[in-house]
Amino acid sequence: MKVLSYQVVLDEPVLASSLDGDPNDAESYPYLPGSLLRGALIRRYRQTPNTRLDATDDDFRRLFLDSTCRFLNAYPMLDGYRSLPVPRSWHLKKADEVETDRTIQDFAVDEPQDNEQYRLLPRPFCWLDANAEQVMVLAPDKQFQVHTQRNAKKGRATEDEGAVFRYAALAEGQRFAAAILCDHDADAATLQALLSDELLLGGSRTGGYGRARIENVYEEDMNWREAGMAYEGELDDGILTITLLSPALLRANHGCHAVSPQVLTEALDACLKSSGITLPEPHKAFLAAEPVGGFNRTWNLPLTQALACVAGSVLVYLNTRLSDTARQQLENHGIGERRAEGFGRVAVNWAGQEQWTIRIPIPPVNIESEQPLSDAGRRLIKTMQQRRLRRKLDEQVLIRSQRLINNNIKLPHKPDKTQIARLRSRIKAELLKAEPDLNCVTEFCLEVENRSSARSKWDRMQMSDGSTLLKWLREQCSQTQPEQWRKPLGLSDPQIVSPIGGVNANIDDEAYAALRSEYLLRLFDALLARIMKQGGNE
Amino acid sequence: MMTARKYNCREIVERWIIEGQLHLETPAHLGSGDSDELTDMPLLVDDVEGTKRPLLTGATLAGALRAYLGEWECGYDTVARHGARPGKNSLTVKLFGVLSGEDDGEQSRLIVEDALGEATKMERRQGVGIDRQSRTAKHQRLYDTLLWPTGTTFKLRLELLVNKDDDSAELRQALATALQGLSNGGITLGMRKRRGFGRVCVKEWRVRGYDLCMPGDLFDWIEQGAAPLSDQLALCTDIKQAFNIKELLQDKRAWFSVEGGFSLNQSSLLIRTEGLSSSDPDMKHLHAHRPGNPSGVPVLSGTSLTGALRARAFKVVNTLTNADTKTLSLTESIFGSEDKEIDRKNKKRSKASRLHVREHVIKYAGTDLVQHRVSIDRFTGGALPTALFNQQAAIGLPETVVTLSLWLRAPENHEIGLLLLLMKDLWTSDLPLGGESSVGRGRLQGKQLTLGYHTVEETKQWNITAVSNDALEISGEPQRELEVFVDALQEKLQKMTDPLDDKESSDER
Repeated sequence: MKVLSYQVVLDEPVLASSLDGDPNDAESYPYLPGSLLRGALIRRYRQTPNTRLDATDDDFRRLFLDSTCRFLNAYPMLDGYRSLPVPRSWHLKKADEVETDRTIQDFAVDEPQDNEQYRLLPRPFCWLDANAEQVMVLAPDKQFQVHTQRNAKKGRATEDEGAVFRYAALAEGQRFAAAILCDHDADAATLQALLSDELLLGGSRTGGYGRARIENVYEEDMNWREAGMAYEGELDDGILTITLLSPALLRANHGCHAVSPQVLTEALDACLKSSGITLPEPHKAFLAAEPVGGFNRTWNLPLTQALACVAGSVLVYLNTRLSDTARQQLENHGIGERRAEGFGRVAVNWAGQEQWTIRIPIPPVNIESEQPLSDAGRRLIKTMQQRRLRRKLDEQVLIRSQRLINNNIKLPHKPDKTQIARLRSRIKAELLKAEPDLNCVTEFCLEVENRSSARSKWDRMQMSDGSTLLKWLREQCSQTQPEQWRKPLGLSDPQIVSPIGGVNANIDDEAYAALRSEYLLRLFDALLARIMKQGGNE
Repeated sequence: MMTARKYNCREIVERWIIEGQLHLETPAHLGSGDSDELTDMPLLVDDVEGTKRPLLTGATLAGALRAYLGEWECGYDTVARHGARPGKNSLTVKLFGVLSGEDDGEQSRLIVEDALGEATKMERRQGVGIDRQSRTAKHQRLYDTLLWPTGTTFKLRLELLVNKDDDSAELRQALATALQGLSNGGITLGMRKRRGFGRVCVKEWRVRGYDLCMPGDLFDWIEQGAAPLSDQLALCTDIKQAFNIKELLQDKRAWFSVEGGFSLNQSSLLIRTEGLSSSDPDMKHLHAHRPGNPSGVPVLSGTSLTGALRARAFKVVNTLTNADTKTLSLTESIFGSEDKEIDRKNKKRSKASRLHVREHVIKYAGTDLVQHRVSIDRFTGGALPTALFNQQAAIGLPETVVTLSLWLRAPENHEIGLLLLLMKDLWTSDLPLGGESSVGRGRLQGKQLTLGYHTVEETKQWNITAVSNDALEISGEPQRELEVFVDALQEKLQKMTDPLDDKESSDER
């Protein structure tokens, strides 16, 4: 038997729909089912010359249909390894969170005799470090997206076609590991040739879902075992633990799909028949059932739904010993139906410790060496910085004008709105220019000072120190030192926005010097507007 | 066994890509619908590249094209006056799809892209609401608005999708009809587009069609479909030729147009704007930017002209009927709702104006004369303190021409009659425009006027020319027909004042 291992990297979210959820939801499995991968490879196989997509063709049948080649599910990678389903015999204290250093109790080995309440481990996948008695657990990331159905001709949702539905898909960027088991060496070579480049997986492939690529294809050595760790032999006292590494589709004697310890034992017996082993009644069983379905693209029809024994189900037998050949037979071929699609995978005496300590993997942080910014990147960041700076200055204009009116301006008489409006008009006209200049305010102040009646109106508006508003305006316009002109805008720190990618937005830079005129004018305008408002009607 | 899947899709067989350069012929306010601390009505700008560029959204352009085509196809009567919409079998609906909220019907076959523009600067204008009775500025009705100046350009790009079941020639004919509204000035864009803002022009087009059933065209479209047509095609001035059609759709609109030249001899015009520097006078006549003329040119704004016409229309009708509320309804039916706040409070549906007015440059006016004036105390007869001011009006010279263009959509005879009376008042210097009419400003004298009455069936035209100070020459259609319109107004006003006809009158409106 040859084993081809490969990894699947999701470039887009993948919707491998399970039968869970509401009618308007499509909830993805937390893994890529073997049937999905097999279907994608069949599509690729069909595109190769001199091949036939014919269920009666021997080659095609052997490669994809009759379980000679078994396409195992792609499970998320954990710390560089293919994770496996968490055994259903693993329990966590009810009050405990899933976090590092918490203890998992394997009820298949021993059930604690304390008064604690336990619950199933709420993570679907794990990877064991038997030496350290640690286990890493993981739930793959999902992406939730709400869509609205629309009529393709009308281009919009209608009363008949306008359902709002939700996709919970496997999020992009994740890496999954899978394997293909080939009984014939020649088949492995054929399939290996198909394992390359991009694949389209799952549903809604024209809607931005399903693009993935295959990487790291290699042939495993002869000692490969799906459970990862090498087989350490039988446990003491002849305890035999069987763990399902994928869902198993089993039929009871009456012909229906069923999930029970007896049905599972019968299926194991059937597989071990050639070894002459018959299993006793199971001592413990940790089982659950789930409906499974599927979709046949050739028929363009959904498959019949059936009840399957969930991945991670555990059976414990006492006083039972398996030969190495029998174990290999069981682990390599699996049990039940649809084994070509990865159903019915089994591990013997896997994870046989009473307690495990949780270790939450820390996602690797790729700190790449600092790359010099491209010209386009630098321009973009410069634009971003200018915007951030402007937003900050916009805020300051509003804050400072309010503070000035509250703390620094005295209005013993009602201000003359005509005079204020004249100055505001000039400021607004100046602000429309490409390079606004504070001279418009200075000139206005000089004009006013030369006209006694206008001056007397402006003298009504005073600062708290007794000087006039007009004088204050002139003073601000004449300030050219950064620390002086930044003061009315309330900017003590010239670097008011943090740098991005080494690009600063320092208001003392030459590039930003033009902002001085613009924002001082805006401050004056905002201040005058507030004075008009505060002054009320004459 | 493979089975053919029936896709419920549009099956697009042709794609037509259309490009053109749109120029603003008058300033346009393409607003953001918001206000900021600097302006009451700021513009919609795109500042992705760090510079504030004008943005004409595809929705704005598509809406204008749809409205224009709907009116062209079904007439103003159907679309504008009675608020009805083109039927679902009309070409307007076929081309632009059904309006939102209507479940029946397909999506638009036209994709209109947002257009980024090139503008030199923004223009700021102030306006003020005038009280109808006192003819003075209303309290708190001063506003300012930003405008993109004349000469601003936008690169347009549209894509027409023709489905398998569509008549391609019919859709192209409809689209060409809609697009020629951009070429002939029939479409105006943005705020106050019926008051002279937002007049646009597209002189030349580039049109390329792809027959997606032909492999060559299909590959071309895949490879070059997104590329600008300027790299591939020459410009074409004739939209019919560009779309390979013989005729446009039949125009079913009806309107009454007035175009004329007036002199400003022995008078001046002052639509006031503020002086914006120490060297400027206190008040200047309104100037607008024009390409190649940075200091601007004097203009007669559509808002000023319409305001004066509305006030005079109200006065004329009110004098003849002495029935205030009905007078208001008659003027509002022509000039639109005056106060939207009141309409909202009274749960009354606001009406847009049916009168379109254009903004024109005042040609050959003297604009370099500054007049210094002083207010006189009427009790003492001496100069008022601090009341010295100076003004720079547009001074009428013998060669000065003030052009007026306006047209009334879906007119009724009595409305044309009212419009003629207004023109008479303008012609005879009885109706002043702009400010300071009390010191003799704003008096026009008629020189030449062209009146046009266009319906689906016929087009009539009258030319009125002043041959001397007290004589007119009227050519074209019989003079008596103009009298019919004024008689219709008198008849209408008679009915409005007659209590027996009161109910009938209100029902009609």
